[in-house]
Amino acid sequence: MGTANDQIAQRPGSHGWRGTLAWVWTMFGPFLGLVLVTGLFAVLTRDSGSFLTVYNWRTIAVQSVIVAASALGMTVIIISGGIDLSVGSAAALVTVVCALLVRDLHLPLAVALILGVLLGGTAGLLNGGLITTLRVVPFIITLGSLKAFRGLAKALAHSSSIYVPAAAKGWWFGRVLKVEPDPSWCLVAPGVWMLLGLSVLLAVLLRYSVLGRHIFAIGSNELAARLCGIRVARVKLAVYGLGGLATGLAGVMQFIYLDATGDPVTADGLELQVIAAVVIGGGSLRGGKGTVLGTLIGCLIMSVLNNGCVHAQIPNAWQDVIIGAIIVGAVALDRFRRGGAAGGGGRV
Amino acid sequence: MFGRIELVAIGIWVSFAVGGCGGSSEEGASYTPATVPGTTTKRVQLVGFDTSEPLVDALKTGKIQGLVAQDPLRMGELGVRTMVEHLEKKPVDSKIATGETLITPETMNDAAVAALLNPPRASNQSDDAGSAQKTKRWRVMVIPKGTTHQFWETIHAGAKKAADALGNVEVIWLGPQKEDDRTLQIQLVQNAIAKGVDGIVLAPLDSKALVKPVEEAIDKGIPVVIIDSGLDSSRVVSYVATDNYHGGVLAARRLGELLHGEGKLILLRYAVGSESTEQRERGFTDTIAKEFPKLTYLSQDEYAGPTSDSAQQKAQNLVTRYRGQVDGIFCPNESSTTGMLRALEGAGMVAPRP
Repeated sequence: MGTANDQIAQRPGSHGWRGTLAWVWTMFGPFLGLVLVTGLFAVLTRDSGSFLTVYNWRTIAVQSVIVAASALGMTVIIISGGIDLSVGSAAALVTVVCALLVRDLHLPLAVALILGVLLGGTAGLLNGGLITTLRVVPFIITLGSLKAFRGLAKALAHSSSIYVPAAAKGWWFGRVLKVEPDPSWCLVAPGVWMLLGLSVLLAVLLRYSVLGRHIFAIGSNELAARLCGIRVARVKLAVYGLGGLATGLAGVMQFIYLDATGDPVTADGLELQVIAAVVIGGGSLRGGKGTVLGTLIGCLIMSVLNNGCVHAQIPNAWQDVIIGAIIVGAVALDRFRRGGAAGGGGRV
Repeated sequence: MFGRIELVAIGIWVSFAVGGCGGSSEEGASYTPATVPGTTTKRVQLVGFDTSEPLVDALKTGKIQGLVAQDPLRMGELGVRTMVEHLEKKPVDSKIATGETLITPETMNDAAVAALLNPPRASNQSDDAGSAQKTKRWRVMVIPKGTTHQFWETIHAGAKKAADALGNVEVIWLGPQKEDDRTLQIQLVQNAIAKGVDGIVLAPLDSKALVKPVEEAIDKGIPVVIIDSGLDSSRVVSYVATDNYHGGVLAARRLGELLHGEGKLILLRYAVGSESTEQRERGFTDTIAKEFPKLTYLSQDEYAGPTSDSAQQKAQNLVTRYRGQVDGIFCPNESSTTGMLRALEGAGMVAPRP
């Protein structure tokens, strides 16, 4: 809850230099974090010179794709005031189903991948449907589906990895997440471009569409949104469906990253990485706040950390400590900037 | 007050009834009222794989009847040596065996066995990390399957031993913390490529999923030596490993002899897609089927999972379910054996030898 002063400071009427500063911070805060982290590793690895190379940044871009795909969906869900803990399990389920579709039903790989994305969407709709009809908080519903999806993945795979015959992989398959893109004018892997394209679409949707504004309204104050005539249940269903599609895409990317392996135990803990990325990027777990750009930068920060720790030869136990500190630091800074108004803008 | 007296009365009656029953039964002499029926069955024979302090202790006290030991020190050492020899343009064998030994309570005091049982270990902390600068002629990244098992600490010690002996190679040791994190291991290989190391020594978590990043490294001119567990690629420099199939055969023969060829078995598998343990499991099941046809399985399709914690949970469930029926158990690696041992101890199914 903010004090009277904060509310004045945030009121449109009291713009001035502080308002401008706040805007600059909102846009560039996470970006600043990325620059800081990059700078830190550039200094730590200055002798080897391998960190700030084009090849390494292509590697980082490819390694960000899975988390980023899922984080796009999570951004929408978190803006709406919800959460989805089942993304890792759902992604694993998608890898298993994609592999089974190709291996046992002999579907073309491309079709299997599209069905994989749709399966993610279905899983999301299921979550959304349960949340709105049972009126149980998303945390609990998706905690349940976290277990259920993982179990389903293991059951379908008979607790085993499923490999797709090499002949079924098209010429394009290996190139989607190839670190050095082929053809080289792509600059980064096609999968990265796909993700960036979707990010732009999603940002436009959130900012300019009616649905997008409704999502923000619900996340800011669900009761008020309801009183304004927004059909909350329907919007929430769309939110989780959208989130599910993003998770489906993450699952498909995971499947490609594992070179067409259906792995029921993969992406364990993905949900935490994804939530961390959104929060580092300025999203608020209280809803009503979050940006696509921020989330993408949040993902990049985490990938840079992963990658940089290898270059600087920091043991991965410390990597986890550093990521933890960054999550807390990013949110605390955000709170400080708002002068004590907690992440969600002081609502109850 | 009245209720309490009644309870005491029932207590006395129950103990009397049990005592009376025990006395009147034909096996009364061996029956002790303090134990639940079913726990006084024959001891379970446990044969495991790999050595660690708790496992060696259990072997000493007779809770484990056999351990198939690999030679991780040699594996780590040969992995790095093979890589350096290849980098120095010397010819190397495409397959290098590091040897496996069955250790029983009877043989564990032999000098050669004692060396296997107390191998040196390098801690993950003690690395000369921080020197991002290339100080030696060759820089080799060693990527294990995980970093939490003692087995990998010994591999690490072996790699360091080679580095110390050769003098011209710097070993970078980095692995995924969980042994089923394929994604993290692929990332490590990619990062090794980006870092521009001279060679990669890899223990792949998955014989197929790691092929692409490894071949990417080879395309970039970084040679790869595979240790411990196979990879489905013909482009690697060499495969340095235990003959895992033969290890499984040794374990099966030991268990078959202990049970005199008759009884019920549990095979607690390790994890899917892990080539080395699947080989051991195959060596075990093939030998049982061929040489001990009267041994049957109560369970052979449960997986212990990546940590000794997950293994213990799975083992507890198995042990509870097949209590009193199971005669012999085989576990194909350190974490599954440790988990199974703890579960059996908890259930009182392995008594120390008198």
